[in-house]
Amino acid sequence: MRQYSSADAHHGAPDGPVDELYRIHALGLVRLALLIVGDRTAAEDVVHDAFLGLYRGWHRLHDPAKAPGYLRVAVVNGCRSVIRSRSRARLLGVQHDPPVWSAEAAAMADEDRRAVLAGVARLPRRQREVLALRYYLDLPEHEIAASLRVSRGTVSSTASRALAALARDLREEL
Amino acid sequence: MKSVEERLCEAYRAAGDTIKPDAIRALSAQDIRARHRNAWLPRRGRALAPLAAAGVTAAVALGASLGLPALTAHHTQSARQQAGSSGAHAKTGPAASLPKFVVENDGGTIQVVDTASWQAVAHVAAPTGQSFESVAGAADDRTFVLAADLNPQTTCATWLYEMHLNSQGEPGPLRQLAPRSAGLPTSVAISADGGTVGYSIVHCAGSAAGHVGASQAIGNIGVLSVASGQSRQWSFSLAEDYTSDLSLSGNGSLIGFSSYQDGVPAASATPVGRLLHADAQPGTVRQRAQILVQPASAVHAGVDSVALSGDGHTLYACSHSGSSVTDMTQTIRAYDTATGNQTQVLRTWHPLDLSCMISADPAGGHLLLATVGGNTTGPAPGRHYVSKRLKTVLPADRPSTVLSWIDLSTGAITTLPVRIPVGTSIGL
Repeated sequence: MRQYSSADAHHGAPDGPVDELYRIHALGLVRLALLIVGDRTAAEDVVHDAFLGLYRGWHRLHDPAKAPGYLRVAVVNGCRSVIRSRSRARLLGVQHDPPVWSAEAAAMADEDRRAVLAGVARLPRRQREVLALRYYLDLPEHEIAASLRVSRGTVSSTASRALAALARDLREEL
Repeated sequence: MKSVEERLCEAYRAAGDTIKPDAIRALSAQDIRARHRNAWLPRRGRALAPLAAAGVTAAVALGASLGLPALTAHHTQSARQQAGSSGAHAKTGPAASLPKFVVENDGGTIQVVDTASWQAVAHVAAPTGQSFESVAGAADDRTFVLAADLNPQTTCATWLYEMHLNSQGEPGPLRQLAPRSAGLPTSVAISADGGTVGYSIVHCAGSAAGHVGASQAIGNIGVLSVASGQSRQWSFSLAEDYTSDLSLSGNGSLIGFSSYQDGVPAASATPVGRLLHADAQPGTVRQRAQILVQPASAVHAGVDSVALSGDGHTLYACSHSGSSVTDMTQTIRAYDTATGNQTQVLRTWHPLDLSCMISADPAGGHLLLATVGGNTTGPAPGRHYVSKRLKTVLPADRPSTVLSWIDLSTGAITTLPVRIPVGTSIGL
């Protein structure tokens, strides 16, 4: 496996801008990824990969102001990759860190909150992404649409369906 | 009583707050590794040697995908000549023999794109709750096959659909080709004549996961007759790993793909290019598939992807080789499927990544390439993710991808006037 090395450095960004973006956005992005993939290790990996992509593609980024949006897209896509891959990994018995909302993780003491997030985890992928972008990042519909490359109408309808499904799920559990 | 939205916001905040600002890992070059096909293994404590040794093809990144049909090529096939990387420059503009329509897949929706304008002319939504994971087209430029799944976290099933476009690119209804299969799709292919569909699925173990030996089956490669609905399958093992680059010959009689070798020490296991006759008796890939392309004996070497030509006479392979991660070269070669002999070296370059994907057109005149734009060290402007696959998956962290079209007879490259957004996966 090829590893990132200093030999690649001249192809990417100068350290300054990416480091600065990392300082500003890493925490929020890791938290966002955590809500989608469930565990911190994977969330940090996804975010690091997103920043690596930004680093390598910096000279192709015409407008640095768009870097946060680019990172958000990269993180969402990275989370998709993790989720998809894990479902394949299940047969291997590969152990991942338990999701933050599981009782095993014990990171969240409130049982209701754990139940809510466990319910979210049972939703289809796109619904989970829309909910996280809307109710955690509080993004407007047009930014969610841009991040997920869907129409605003799709964002709205997906969110509605997701909330309805979540409500049904929670009622069943409570 | 709180609304669902309020409870959700509170739960999100509580979960987010479990990560403290001062506990984020620093961004260090040593800690960052390019994502590869085994990226789903835990970053710490990888337990499985066979798969830990895997790792050159791209990550399973899902985003948009662009599916090009197997191309209807009307050009005549001319004598092939050696084409090296030096001195080759890409031109930008329209390319000959492109299909009229391609499809772009963002998972939930298929967009039909007219290559004359590169504008979307129609959309197809995935069946309720499902996501399209792979798409491929036949040579008529109107017939596509799509592989879909449901929420992979909770459901382990694959649906195969066929879609037809009319002359304006408007799609008819999706037609399910077979009962859903247990497992998740990793690749789909369709023969140029549209009569045979190839697919690869990997199984899931559900919540009762247990240890799986390296030579135990974890999935199947299969072919399905569109007319009769009959299928034939060959299992692949954990050590071989699943493939994402199935391709079929024009009449569906041959299957090309790359995967790892079973039965060799994990430390020396490398991906190889394989050929499987579609009429082979059911069994395992190891039993039935011929290894046609073996990587060079180097410390770092392997086949990144292969592409079967439409006539089935040639298997194109993109391979990497080098004594260290810093002196890698990547090469596209052609192999005679009858003899296994190398017949042509198409291109060689020094890659910055090992994602290399190629797609052959059925007439044998062109290869389609997916290129990450901007770099100047590759054989064209931008690094070439030469893509051969019916479904090619590119890493999600690429700013943009350029599609290029290589004339096999001259080595000339034409950059297509289309960009693929960040996070794309490309189906060719």
